[in-house]
Amino acid sequence: MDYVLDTKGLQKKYGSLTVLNNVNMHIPRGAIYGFVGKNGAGKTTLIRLICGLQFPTSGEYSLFGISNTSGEIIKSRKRMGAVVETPSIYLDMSAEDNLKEQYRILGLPSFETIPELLKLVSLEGTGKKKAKNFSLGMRQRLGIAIALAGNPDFLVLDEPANGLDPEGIIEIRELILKLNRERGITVLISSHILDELSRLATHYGFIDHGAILKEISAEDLEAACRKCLCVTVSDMPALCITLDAAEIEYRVLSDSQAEIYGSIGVTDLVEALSANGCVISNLHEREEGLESYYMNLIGGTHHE
Amino acid sequence: MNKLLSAGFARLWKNKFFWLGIVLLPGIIVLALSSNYHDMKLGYFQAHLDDFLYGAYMFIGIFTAVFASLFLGTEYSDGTMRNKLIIGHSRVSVYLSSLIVCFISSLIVSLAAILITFAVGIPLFGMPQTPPAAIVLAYLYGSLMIAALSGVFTLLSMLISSKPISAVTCTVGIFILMFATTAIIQRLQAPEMLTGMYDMSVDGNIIPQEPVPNPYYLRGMTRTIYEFLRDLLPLGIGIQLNQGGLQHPLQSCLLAVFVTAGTTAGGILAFRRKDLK
Repeated sequence: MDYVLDTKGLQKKYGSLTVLNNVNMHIPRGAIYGFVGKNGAGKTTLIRLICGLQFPTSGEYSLFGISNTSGEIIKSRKRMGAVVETPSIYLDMSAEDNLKEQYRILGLPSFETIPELLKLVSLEGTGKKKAKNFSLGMRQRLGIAIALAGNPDFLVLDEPANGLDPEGIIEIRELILKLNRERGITVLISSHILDELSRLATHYGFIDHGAILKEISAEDLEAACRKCLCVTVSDMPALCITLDAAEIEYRVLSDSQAEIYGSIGVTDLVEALSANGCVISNLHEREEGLESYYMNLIGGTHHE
Repeated sequence: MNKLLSAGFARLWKNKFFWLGIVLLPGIIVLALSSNYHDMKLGYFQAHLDDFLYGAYMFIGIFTAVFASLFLGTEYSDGTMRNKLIIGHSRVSVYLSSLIVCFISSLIVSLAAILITFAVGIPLFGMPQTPPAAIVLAYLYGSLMIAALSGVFTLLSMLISSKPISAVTCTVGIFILMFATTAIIQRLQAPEMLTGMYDMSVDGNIIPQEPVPNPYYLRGMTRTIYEFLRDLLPLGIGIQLNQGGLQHPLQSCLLAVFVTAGTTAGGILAFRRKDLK
């Protein structure tokens, strides 16, 4: 597979403290890679390494197939943009001036595309307003605009939803999806807001205590997540007899509640229970999601 | 590195502290000139423009220290240093471009002060008596001092990730440097022999005494070390220029180059290994 980022045995130590340990990570081209882990799991440290802000203690990584040990890695970096932790913006400059500054750093010959970029992140009307007077969401979007200034193929976003209000979170989500779909940008997005991540990611990497626990595509994750039917009935023995007869797996939660796994026709179930004199008072489908998958993966004992 | 320099200078032209320096330092020079002119007119002393030609170098260190810490500290506090590294600029380029912007900004501020010295000083005190070539040479010495100061304060600002800590360190640093250099020069200026002492005879006549050796006069290796320190510390050039000229011009210049190169090399080495957030 064609990977934008490929890490091999990456390790980072601060003194005697090991923050990343033998991290092997693979981000396919075109993916939105959700990087999941609790605070302090090592997400930001890994991002700092791949952005060249810090250096691995051991191991290596490749960006667009070029190893970090090669001098050519600088060329690969020109193809990436990143927002690490907080947006990197001059607070005493306007959005336009911030972008002009980044254009100069990139050596872009003209500022013609700045209005387009500002429009993309919905900051076209900010005029001379300084970034220090922006809301958190606006700063985040400006940070993304700066990361996009070099027209990158790989965008790294570290906790982009942190501190945003619901509207801001939706705006960032829409923007990321747009960039991925319309521009084909590969995105690495770290977050511990799993619900938000599940609306975006095509691939996941789970990290805990500095080690990657699992990498999985969104499709495989969905397949791995078990669905169940939660029912509330008037007669539990009747429900058990009916499900046993149909050889369907289930779990009794109380005298009146049970979870039914596997595929079953609702009409058939209702009719069979009715024949046994049992009434269904409540029925709904429940799906094991990213959150429970993650909790199962890390052992279910850790909490943020 | 041209891209980084272009971005650095674009930011410099919009930097309030830089413009404050452009206004403040020449302002201090104008105040000093007019005050001295006033005193001269009252007949307190006879002054020449030559006495004020290098006044800018007494204060430029404060500007360099504060400017470097604030200008470069912003790169850390606003996180914009990351933007340069993430897109592939080398750490050496980032460091050198920062140094160059700091040096040029201090040079511009000192030039503004020098220009105002001539613009205001010539009408008040007349033309300087020092030959133009000697003045230009002195300004070259001053520029070397600014380069050395830029090297020192760029190093501190690039290695201290916290803007407030960097600002305090650089500000305290420049004043320590000023006091240390002044103290060293004062010790070196102590006369070898104490003269002008008188005794009184029993009949009330004043009898001049023979000169006696000054116990505070530095001799031998101690004097050599003090002279070396005076020439090594960048502000030594500025203070000496204002006191009539450099005692050891070649050594002072070579040491200024050494300080600039040494701090830059050391700074780059440390910055290349520095973990950034």
